[in-house]
Amino acid sequence: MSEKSIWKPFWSFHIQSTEHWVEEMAKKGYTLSRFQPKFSRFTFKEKASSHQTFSISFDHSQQHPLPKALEEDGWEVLNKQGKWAVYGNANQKEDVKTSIVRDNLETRNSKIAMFWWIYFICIIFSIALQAGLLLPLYLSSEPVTVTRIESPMWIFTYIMFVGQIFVTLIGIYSVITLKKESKRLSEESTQPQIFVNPEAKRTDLSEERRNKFKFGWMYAPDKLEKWLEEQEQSGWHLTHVYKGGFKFQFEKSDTKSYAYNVLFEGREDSSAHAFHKEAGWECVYVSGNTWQKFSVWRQAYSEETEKPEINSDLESKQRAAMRVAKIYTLMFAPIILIFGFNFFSFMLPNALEQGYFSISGIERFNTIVYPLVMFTFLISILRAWAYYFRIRTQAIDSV
Amino acid sequence: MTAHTDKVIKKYVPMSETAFYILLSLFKQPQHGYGIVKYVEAITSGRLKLGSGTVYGTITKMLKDHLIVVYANEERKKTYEITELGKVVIQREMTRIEDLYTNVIAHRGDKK
Repeated sequence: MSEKSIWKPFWSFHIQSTEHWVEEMAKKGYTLSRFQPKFSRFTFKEKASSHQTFSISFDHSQQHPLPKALEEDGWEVLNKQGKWAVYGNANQKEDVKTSIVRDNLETRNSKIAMFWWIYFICIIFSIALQAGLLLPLYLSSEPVTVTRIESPMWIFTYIMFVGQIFVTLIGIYSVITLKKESKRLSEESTQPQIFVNPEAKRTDLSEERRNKFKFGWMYAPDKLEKWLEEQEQSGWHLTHVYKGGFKFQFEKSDTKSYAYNVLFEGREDSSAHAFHKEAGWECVYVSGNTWQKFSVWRQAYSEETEKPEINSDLESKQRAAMRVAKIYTLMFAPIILIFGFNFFSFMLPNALEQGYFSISGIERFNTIVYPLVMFTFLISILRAWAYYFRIRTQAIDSV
Repeated sequence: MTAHTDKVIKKYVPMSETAFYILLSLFKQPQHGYGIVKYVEAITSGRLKLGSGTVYGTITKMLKDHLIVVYANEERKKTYEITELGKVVIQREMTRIEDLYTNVIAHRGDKK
């Protein structure tokens, strides 16, 4: 009996084609006998496969549970290897009705993409830092002499350099592939598509139509909800939210009660969105940002019924608010620290020592702008926490 | 009973009304998200209208604790199914509530 061992690098970034490939191998009379996910190695035995449909699943908890409904539909867990498992079904693909949900895989993929972005930011930051140190030397008119000390240790510098380029290339490849993969995976779960901005944007402004701006509502989503509800109550119906989420278009219409809800999600969850739609919510805005997805939802209601809410209990409201406060603190605190470190240890002493008007133009500009930037970010963090505490107080009051 | 089961029971018993009704609606048959909302509304005669975000959040938590599992049905709709562990937890909670109920009845009877 012959064995075939195949190395398939990055197989988990193309999960569907990997599954398809295993199926093709099964058709050719090869059974998957060994699966080493970490080494990207698949070993096949020349033996008629008892399964025709395959699914590869990721489970962080390493449990790989098999729901009864899947078992009844013919699914089995064939090969468990830590966080990965191969599920097989003896039936033809067309006859298999149920399928395995890939939420865990999508979360894992977005974590990997996030890791690479952090890596890129570090690389860019370190290049910028080195450029900042060396550029003045290159640009100065005085001749610069660089002495290169001969040493066998230089070999390590070169190896490191090549290594870093290699790692960066893998990173670029991963980020691009994962982006495509995430599109493929969301297409796979074909559910009712979400139509953003169903009403066409009208550019002609008249008495019947007006644009209004609202900035910084991401740090206080409850205020945006209230503002939009008030607009509706005063007879202005929201027709369009422009890209970026700052400009809102309203149209004069009959007063109608609408409940608005702003949701914040780490990753866009299309099945959650489909669920909200099914529950009668209309999506009026989804932000394009990958890591901080905001979406605005509304639902009309009559005075007799209770005002509908996406998060109907206090616990989930509080959890949602905490997420907003946390993400902005994590995002902005490092920026404030870097700016603060620069400002308080270099700029401010420098400006005080030499006098504000004797320092160069760019230094003067920085001395003004740095505190402003720090202040803006700090206010944003504080606003996000104020939002959290408003929700919490609301929770305590109603108990 | 394993250590994990004990830990989960400690975490979920007693549970919130929302969590209880979500788990209860999966007790007899698997449901998809909106199915849970409708079911709970029906068995509480319209009193409890769960928000979709609340249901989704609670389900995510229960998935993590392995009280329920998820699969995609024929329409590729996410469907939730209770696990053995989930059944143990809801049985415990039901026993607790039965206890509450008998005490309520007993004390009401005394007053009259």
